[in-house]
Amino acid sequence: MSTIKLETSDGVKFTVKTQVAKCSGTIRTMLEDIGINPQDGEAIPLSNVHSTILQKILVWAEHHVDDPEPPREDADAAKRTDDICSWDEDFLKVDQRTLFDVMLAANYLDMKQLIAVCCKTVANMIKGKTADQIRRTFNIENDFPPGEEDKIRLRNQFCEERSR
Amino acid sequence: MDLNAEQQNCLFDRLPNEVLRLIFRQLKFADLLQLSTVCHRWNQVIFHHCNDSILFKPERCDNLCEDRSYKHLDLSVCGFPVPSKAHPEYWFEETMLEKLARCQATSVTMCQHDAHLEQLFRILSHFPRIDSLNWCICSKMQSCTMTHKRFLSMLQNHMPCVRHLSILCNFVNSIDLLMDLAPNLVELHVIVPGRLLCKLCKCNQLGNLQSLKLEVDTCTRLERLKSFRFNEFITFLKSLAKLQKLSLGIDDQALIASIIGSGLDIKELEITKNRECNLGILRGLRNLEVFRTDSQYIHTDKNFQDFFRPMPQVTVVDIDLAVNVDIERLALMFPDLKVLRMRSRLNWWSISRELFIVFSMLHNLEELSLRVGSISNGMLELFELKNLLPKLRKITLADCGVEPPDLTVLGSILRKPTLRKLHIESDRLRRSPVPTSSYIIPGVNPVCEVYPSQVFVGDTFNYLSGMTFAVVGILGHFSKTVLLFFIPQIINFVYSVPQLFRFIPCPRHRLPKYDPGSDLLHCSKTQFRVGDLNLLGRVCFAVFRTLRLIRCEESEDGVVSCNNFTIINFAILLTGPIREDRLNRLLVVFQVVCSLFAFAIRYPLAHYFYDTIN
Repeated sequence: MSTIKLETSDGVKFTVKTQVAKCSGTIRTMLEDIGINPQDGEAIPLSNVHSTILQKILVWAEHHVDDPEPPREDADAAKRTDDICSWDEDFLKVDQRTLFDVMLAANYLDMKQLIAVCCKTVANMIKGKTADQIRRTFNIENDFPPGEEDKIRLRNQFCEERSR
Repeated sequence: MDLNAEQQNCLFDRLPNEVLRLIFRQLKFADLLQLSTVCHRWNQVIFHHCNDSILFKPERCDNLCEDRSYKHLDLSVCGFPVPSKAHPEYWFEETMLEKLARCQATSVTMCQHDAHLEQLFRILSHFPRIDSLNWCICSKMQSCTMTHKRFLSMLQNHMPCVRHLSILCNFVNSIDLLMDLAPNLVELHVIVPGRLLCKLCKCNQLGNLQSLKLEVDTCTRLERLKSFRFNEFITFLKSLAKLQKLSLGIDDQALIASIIGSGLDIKELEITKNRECNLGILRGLRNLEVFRTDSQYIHTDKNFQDFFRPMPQVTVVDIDLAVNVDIERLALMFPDLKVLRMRSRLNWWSISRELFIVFSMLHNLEELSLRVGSISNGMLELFELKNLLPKLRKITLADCGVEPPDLTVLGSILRKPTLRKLHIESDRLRRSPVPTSSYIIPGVNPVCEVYPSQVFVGDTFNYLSGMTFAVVGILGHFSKTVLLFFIPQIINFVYSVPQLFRFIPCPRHRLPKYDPGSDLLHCSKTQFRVGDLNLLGRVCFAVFRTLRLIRCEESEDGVVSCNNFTIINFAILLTGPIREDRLNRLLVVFQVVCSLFAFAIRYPLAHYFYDTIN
């Protein structure tokens, strides 16, 4: 079984099975297109990923390495957020910061399924809350100029009526 | 959460927009509306990037027209909110309307389903130079007549120059609009319910009208409508002095027959919405040139003597949807056809070979459009076609089961000096990677590449240029000669065959490998075990190896690594590692030598290779 080396932003080197590393679209392209030779012993630099996060992602990739390719998404399928498998749910029971770091790293590494799971988790956190609650939960600043928010709300009311 | 506020603050800020969008995609519409009030960025992301799921987007209009002018403006994509006393801000602000006016559109489409008429009029009055208007409003929300009249007068002042109008007259109001614009109209497409037809007939200002397309939308027969007077309608049509094109969408054969029989002087006639159509009624039209119908059943004259009264004035017949056409009678009736579009649904192609003998009656045919089942059935007939129709310039073959390889065959069969356009519509072609929906002979632009190249020539360009050469060769009667100039490419293909057909593993890219240290190109390699190859692969490998066409090394565990099978790698094999520009020069020299060889075959030695020499 061939392995490759990955180097994170803080200089930690990981030795990973090629098959596992290929869960990441970015690494896959690097190997196939740019022609980085895994046997050279040279590590692939992942300058956007911290070692703690990469470790976590590798655990996920290890578990999902044999998953079949996901079917192509259609618009209706995207609306479901309750189909996260229980292993993933446990895996993502982390503090918000780590969750967002994982999501960012997954985006950088182009791991579609991991992003999808993370997005669903975040969507579940957002769902059903009012704007105020969301702002408090995620500590988002309300940066609308005064009066603007009411305008949007009025417009939205109209949308809601029409969408029914 | 034990994180401090500052750290938390940046959690969402750090996510790029595309991830934010992915999250929002998981949420329902109602949630998104909530989210849009959270902060400015979220609002922007939701309204500008997720707008495929949002109905309400006046913002789109806002994006228009800052620094360019739009000729055609389609406002049907904008959902206009409904203003009311409670929410007066839904009226468009004047600044936006001014923006719209600045974009100088000459053609505007509005197809709202439930919009506020008054508001639309207001928008419309801001286009001063509008020439063509598509007004398909089936609005249930009518404004009161007073304001409506005010706006109509406003419109009259603003839009004297609408000349092309397409309008859906579901309500009396829309007919009023039509009346107001009438004196200038040149082209009119009107969809009108039967009960309002009489109101339309009273309009006597359409003196400039040249083209009328009338679709009557009715569920009862017209003669049963009390308000409809037959004579009035015919007088109305006759009063249109300049009318040249008439299109009737009336589901009433008797009415159509009497309209046509009333001595109209038109050049183009279209009959739609009818299942059946009798070509005999056309005899009354002395100046008819173009006839079109979407009827499924086409009847010709029942009367035998009528065959001897052909209509040579008709040059275009378009019976696109007809299923059963007596082609011989058609040919007798219209002997001077130039354009025939007949995409009969039936697969009559293979059945009737005499069809082409009938085609021999139509000597003047310039354009022919057919729906064919399978090319292989019609090969012989197509071959006949070549000799029979001397003036044919354009052929359209629809629905045919042409595979890309067939095209070459088809191209050589359809070699005709007059043919300028061959259009093929086929599902199978659409799935193929080569863009081949239309075959036109383009002017060939000579393309040269010089090292170091400034652009990367992608696959599409390569496909296109290859296709251009092939098509030029086929349609210009020199396919053999063109092939002669592709000797290096043919050699490359033959050399690549083992990898192209996967007898030997083929990596995704086979271009030479660049070594930045020495600035030299090396062969790119493929790796495999001889034991894993199938029989053909092993044979190929052995042959190539004994002929020394490849160089390979075998490691102790049986893995063979050998160069990829392309002519470029072969060149490197001969020269050893080489700089890119020198390799490039070498290949160009090879191409030139081969081309000289081709010239030698084509001219001094042509006696040996060609049957005819010109």
